[in-house]
Amino acid sequence: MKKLMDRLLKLDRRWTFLAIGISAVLPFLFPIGLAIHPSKEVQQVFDHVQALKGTGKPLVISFDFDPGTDAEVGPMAIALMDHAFLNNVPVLGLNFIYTGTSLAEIHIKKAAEKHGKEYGIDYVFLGFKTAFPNVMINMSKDIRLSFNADYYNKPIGDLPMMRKIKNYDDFGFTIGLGGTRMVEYWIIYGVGPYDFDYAIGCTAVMASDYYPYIQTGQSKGIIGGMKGAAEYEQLLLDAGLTETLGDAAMGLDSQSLCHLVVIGFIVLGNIAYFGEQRRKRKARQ
Amino acid sequence: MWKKTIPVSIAFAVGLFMALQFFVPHRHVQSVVEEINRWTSLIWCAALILGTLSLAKHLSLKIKAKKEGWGYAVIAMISMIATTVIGFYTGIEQGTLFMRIYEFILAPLEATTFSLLAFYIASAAFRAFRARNAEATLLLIAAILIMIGRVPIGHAISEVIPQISDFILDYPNTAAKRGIMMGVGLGMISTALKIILGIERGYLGDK
Amino acid sequence: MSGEFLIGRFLSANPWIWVAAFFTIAMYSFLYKDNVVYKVAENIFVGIAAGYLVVIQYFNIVKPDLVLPLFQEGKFILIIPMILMLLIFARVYQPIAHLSRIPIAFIIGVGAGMAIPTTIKAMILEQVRGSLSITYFGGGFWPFIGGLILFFGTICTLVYFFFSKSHEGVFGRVAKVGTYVIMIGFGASFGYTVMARISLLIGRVLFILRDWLGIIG
Repeated sequence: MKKLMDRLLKLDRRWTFLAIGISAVLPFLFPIGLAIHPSKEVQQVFDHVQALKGTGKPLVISFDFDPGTDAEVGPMAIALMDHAFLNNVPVLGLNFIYTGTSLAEIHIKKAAEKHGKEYGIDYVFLGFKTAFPNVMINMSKDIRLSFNADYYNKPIGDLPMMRKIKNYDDFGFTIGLGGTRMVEYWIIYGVGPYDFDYAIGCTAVMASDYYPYIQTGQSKGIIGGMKGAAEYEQLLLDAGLTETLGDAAMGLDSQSLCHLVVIGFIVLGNIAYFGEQRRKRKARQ
Repeated sequence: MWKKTIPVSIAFAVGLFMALQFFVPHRHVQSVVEEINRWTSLIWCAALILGTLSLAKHLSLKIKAKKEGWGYAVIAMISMIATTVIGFYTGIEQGTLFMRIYEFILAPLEATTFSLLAFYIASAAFRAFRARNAEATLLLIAAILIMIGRVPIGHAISEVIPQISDFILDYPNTAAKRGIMMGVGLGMISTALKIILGIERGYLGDK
Repeated sequence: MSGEFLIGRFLSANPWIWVAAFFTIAMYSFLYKDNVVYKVAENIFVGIAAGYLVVIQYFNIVKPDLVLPLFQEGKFILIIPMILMLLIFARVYQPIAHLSRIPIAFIIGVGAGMAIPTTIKAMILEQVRGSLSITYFGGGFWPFIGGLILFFGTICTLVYFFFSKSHEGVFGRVAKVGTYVIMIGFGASFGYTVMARISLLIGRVLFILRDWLGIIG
């Protein structure tokens, strides 16, 4: 037993790497198919997007994530755009994180092509701007003060969809998707002074930090991490809008197994640690 | 003296103006705000590009001095120049070589770099996360409940587990994060005031 | 099985996917040990990221917001921000580096000024309002308990962070409760952090198994 404890404490970390790697891969090869139960926070976001149907007002998505967080936030973006496009809700995209500008364009274009949507009429991507607080303040008066052209350098005035959108009053629902505090800055510099409907879609790392904003109503729900994205995909399926789940749901079995493995590591590590502490105490006596 | 006084005075003037403009809806004031907002965006852009120039300077000095690992600096420099030239030549629309570099080289590199953290957190879970005292035990119990409760396996084990994790997130977690948020908010306000009043001058690059 | 059978049917036929797969594996090779392939990939990453920044800044900001309005539409007021932008670059040349302080002071001052009223509202006043408007009754037993935890937990957390008074006596006991509340909050953060990191790995696994090797649909 003592030898086992010693070996455990001195285990080469590459074995733990291998264990996590295998745990991530196995469920893809042997799917378990655990049921997904949407949380109330994701349901709130879904309901707000669903309420846009027939209003003519756009879903505004701030694509503030980059390839480093695409695995978590990308499926959210796709699910949200699927939802909007399936309900013929226009989508307006913008971006404040330059490392994710092209990624945003890839996602929005792919979603639009999947649903046969036309640029300038059904969706517009405004591209990237720096100094987001200043842009958010300008957008309260007129988007054109900061975005006089779109990502492709086409004048905003030439885009039919943008003729109906001037400022926050014309936004149907805004969602900040990101892996940084940008999702919070939308609340500080946007929702706070100008009061419009907004929700957060963020990586799981940050999700727990933003619950105070949900409680105050500053954020109308939250989509947190890959699990949140999977819940949104499930809601789309339950509503009959889609026929299959997406990438986020595919990864949840893997997520479950990896979590169990990490918990196992914590427990094992603590058993080995307390075993060693007990031996040291006995040796001192 | 004027090398510091002028910038500090500028920070004071624009800072005070931008703080008070929220309470002055007059169109002349707001039109100045709109212009300041546009200029700020442009200046930030230049600051970001300055970062790239600093990197280029650092790499070229390393190559010139043939410091250890200078060969890798050559690779970084070539990658930087090639990407910039290709980007200006082809543009940024989908299907261009620049976008292919982004989609199939930069994006996978960045995504994989961040995914390495999964392995390190697993290793840290085994080697470092110890329930040494009551506080650490409480932290670990909360973490384990969240880890099980927020994935489908939690619901499969028992319906109570996700309910417990929801309770933890909605109440004690919100309380803690709210307290921290208010503290951070007060810190942000005090730092902003110190900058406007010229007490905080770190941005001048003082040595 | 012949290569023609495998490629396209299972393995991706897109050469760019193979490039992406190569760089993915190059980065993962670091898990075994540091090596030349990893270092090369890392430096390519740094170089491309820096080059990408310059291109995106030009096409999304400099061209539509400065070049076209100034030189095509004749908005000469933009000469001022153009000069400020050029002053930023003075930083790389030591004799005139102090000139870069002017535009930096401008943007820092703007940011500081805007932060004050907005932060007060979003992070202080709204949070106080949220704490005072908790619904205790009508939701059942657990929401009632939760409401009490939320209200008193927030106060205890704030008391913990008040270091101007020593944590003794009643104040110290309240701060101790705050510590426990904070630990639960951090535990929630840690649990979610594990989830986040694992998700990023799952993203890459999906790419390798589906997009590259075609093992899964």
